[in-house]
Amino acid sequence: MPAPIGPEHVRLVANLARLDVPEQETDRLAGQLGRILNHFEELSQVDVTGVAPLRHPLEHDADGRADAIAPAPCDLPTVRANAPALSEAYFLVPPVLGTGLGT
Amino acid sequence: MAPPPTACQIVAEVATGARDVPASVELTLQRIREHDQELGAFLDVTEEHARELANRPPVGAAPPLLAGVPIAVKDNICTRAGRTTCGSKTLADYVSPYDATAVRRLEASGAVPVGKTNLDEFGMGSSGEFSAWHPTRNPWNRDHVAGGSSSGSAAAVAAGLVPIALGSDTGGSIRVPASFCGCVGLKPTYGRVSRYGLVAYGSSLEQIGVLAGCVKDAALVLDAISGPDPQDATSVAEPVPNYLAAVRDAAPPGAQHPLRVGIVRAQLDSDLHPETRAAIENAINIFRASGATIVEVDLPHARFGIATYYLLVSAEAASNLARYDGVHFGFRDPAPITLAALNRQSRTQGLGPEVQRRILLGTFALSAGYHDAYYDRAARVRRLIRQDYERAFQNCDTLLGPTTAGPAFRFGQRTADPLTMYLTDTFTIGANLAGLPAIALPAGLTRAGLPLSIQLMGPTFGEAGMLRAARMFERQFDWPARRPPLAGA
Repeated sequence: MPAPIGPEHVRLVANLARLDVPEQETDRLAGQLGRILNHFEELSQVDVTGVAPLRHPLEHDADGRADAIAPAPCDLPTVRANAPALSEAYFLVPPVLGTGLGT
Repeated sequence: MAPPPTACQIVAEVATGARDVPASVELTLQRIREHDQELGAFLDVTEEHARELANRPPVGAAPPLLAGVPIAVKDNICTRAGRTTCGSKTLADYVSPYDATAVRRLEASGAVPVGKTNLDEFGMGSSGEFSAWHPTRNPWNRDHVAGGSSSGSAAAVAAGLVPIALGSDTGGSIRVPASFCGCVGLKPTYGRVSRYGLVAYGSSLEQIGVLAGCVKDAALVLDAISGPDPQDATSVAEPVPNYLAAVRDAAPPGAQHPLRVGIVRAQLDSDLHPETRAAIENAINIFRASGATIVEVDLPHARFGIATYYLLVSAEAASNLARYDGVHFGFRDPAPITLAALNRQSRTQGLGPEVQRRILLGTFALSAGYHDAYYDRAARVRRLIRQDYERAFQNCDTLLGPTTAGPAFRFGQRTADPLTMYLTDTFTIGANLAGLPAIALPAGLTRAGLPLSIQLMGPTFGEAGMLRAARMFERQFDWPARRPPLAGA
């Protein structure tokens, strides 16, 4: 698995991750991420034929809990108090529809 | 100034009436006020809440497990008292609407949380230098890092500001700072302690655990916080033994104990600081003298640990940190006129460089065309790494090795190159990848006066045996009375 990471990858990944990377930073980040990924290349030496991925240490299905109503751990006003902008009970964001600006 | 009492001593004194809880908590708060400026261990001291808890009327006849014990809480663990910033600008003003289960259980056990401790942003760092607020200084030498990411919890315990603290360990975040600061750092088995209220970073790897001055205190806290929680589907309904009783049963000095202690030759032959190597050889001799058999075991895939761990944890971070969108909570840049730009700019300004680097790395590892080569392959190697440990524990009861390759380094020594920083976790990530319990133990000081540490690991849910072995070592080593000098102390 070659790690061909260039400025164009940084731009693509930054977009997917919803981060702004200044143009003058893309080369530096590409170099840095490339170096890290190069080190990770060593994983290609491992024979993983027939080895299933282990994504989580607990492989059994989580034990379900009783479907019973319990008091909420917190109330809505306390939750909303952390919101950067509210309109009554709603989280406020810039207009999404009809702006012609896309999302 | 006399050395501050251990949690077990406080509990005993409260039980006999020899210790007044409000006065004792006041003393802790005063200690923090006097000494924390030089350390930077705390981000918030919740004096009012601590006083309120200290003055609670007793419930029931017997004092609870942790009656009157002050405790510090890492700032990525949710508490209603004080802010929960995770060491990040994005959560500068965040107040959790609920308490983490571990915190709730500690308070129900009579413990008194006194404040929130510093950390690398969201737990991403091995030195404490990636806090958005200020660095935590090593109590033994202010020019050296405290280790991360639970830097404040380790420094506060090592300096004697509090007897115990909660930390979280995703790849070594309890054990690395315990190693650098010279205290006990316990990471439980994955699923032993509820993660409800631990702000998510690497969900398949992290556990809440304990920083303490001695093994008994760590066992006591584990007793209070262990066990299944309906609020966390990854907490396991495995019976919880009495850990403190298990530690009290540890073989006394001079007794012969038929323990099988595993060592990994490749670890001992790796590039260790000579004084770290000597500390491990000394520990091997201590166990051998106590009647333990030393067994050589092999972990053939351990050398792929760093690559496996950083690919998986970055992928999990990229996914978990998608929630910081500038909408529901956290920092918002109010200027953008589109939602997408608001998301991007709020994230870019709110999250620090190391966090952004891991998000980019993880997003890359998960992206179309690269997922199979990176994330998926790392998850397969993770299984091989776990199988190595399963085989090793067929031949030994506990594994003994280094916690870190050497003592604490100087500020700035590893920040220039991310990969060099990542390698700090070489010996700790195995326990997280395999979900196993592990404990860092003080093992002396270097000639330059910096703490040394050894690490013990146990099989899944093998905390009791591991803690007994840890206590055996601690008794022979006679470390807990030693404290770093504090100005004015």
